Amino acid sequence: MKALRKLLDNIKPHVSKGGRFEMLHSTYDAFETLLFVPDKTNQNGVHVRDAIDMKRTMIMVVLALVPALLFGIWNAGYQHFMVLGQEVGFWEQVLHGALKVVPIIVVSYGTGLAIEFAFAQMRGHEVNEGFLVSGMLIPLILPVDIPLWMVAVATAFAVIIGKEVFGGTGMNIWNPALLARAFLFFAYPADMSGDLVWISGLSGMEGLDATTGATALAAAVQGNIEQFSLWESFLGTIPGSIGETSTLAILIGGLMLIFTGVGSWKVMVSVFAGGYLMGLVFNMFGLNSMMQVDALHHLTLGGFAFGAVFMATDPVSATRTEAGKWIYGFLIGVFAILIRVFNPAYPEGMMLAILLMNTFAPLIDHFVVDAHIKRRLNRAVVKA
Amino acid sequence: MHGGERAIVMSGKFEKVLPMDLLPEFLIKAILVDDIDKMEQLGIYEVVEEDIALCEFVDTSKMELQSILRKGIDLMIKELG
Repeated sequence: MKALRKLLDNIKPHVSKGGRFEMLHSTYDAFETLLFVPDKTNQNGVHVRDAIDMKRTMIMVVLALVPALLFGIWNAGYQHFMVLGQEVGFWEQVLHGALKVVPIIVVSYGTGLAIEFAFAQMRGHEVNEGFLVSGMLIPLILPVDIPLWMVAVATAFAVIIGKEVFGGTGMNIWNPALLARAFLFFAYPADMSGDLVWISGLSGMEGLDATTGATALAAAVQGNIEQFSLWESFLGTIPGSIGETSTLAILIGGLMLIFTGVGSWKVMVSVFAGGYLMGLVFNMFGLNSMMQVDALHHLTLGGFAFGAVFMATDPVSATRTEAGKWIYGFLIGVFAILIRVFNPAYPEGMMLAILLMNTFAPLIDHFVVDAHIKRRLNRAVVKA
Repeated sequence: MHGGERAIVMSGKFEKVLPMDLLPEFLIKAILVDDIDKMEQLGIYEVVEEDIALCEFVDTSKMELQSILRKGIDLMIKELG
């Protein structure tokens, strides 16, 4: 600890005003505050501040993502060797998965943080922590076979167009991580959908039986949902994006978020409620094979759970009023299942549903605030 | 101070520690953009700095909410004066 402090103190004169590397001030500041509590004191207002700050909030989300990440790494290896028909040990599966997943994470963080630091430098701000979460979310919602340059392009797009043009973390209207996925989904559909991208090493082998690599959602469109039992899709031993397959691991992360108060339980609960209800409604009609998928099963398939826990709860792009959160979450659940069922071309409805509701979140807030103002006006009594 | 100043990110934290029936986050935003009508509607007359001291304490973004509110109140006094 002392050695670190010494090192930082040695660098400090060079990056402060007038120093040789003055332009790197934000970068220095970001690392210093990552390691130590800032030495600034309160000038006015309350003289004690709560210990929670943006760094702690964001790092909590990253920690909550770890179960899903670890499971994703193992699952990448597990799926790979299962398709090849080879029996290998647990660690070999993890090793294969890690070799596939870790580079994606490194590329995502590298690209995003570089842009984030550059913008902070240009604006003379402190570096925003928001990307710590986005940089972890992006790899987890991509297929494991994605080329690394696409990860870099998508991340750059998400950070620049999704966030920095609006003014940085806290000002964006869409969830940056989802924007990265949507960008790839529409720009490079061949590498983001179909039956071959979800299992590593499969895209090179066209000869294989196509159904082996299909995600559960693609199978459900064709009425083959029996391939994936409810239990399997809850545990997550199915093909899919890296971090989204295991509902169990995601729920562990979700509990961490709720327990620490970082994620809003209202949004999570209402997304699941909306999705479940919509699933039930479709079950009643059951006109096509997608409608017949059990409502509970719907919630464990594809990115539904991941989106509900980690994407919809993003406080910046979600509604900001408490009443609005119920409406917002509920509609996400409804739309996710709706898009899934009625648009087989886009089996992953969750991404589009959340982006759509992100767009409408300010509108929901507007009505909630309006209702609040009306209620207050009714209470006001004018003595004439 | 535990952490640097940031844009507003977390939502729903202020309401929890404010006894009045107000939407403090939207009130603060109205003050920041000098929207007099909104400030009035959202109840700026009902609070003074000390009322939102707890909000300032729990604020994840470490903003100086009390100074912001004072600016808003001063503006209202000037406008009404």
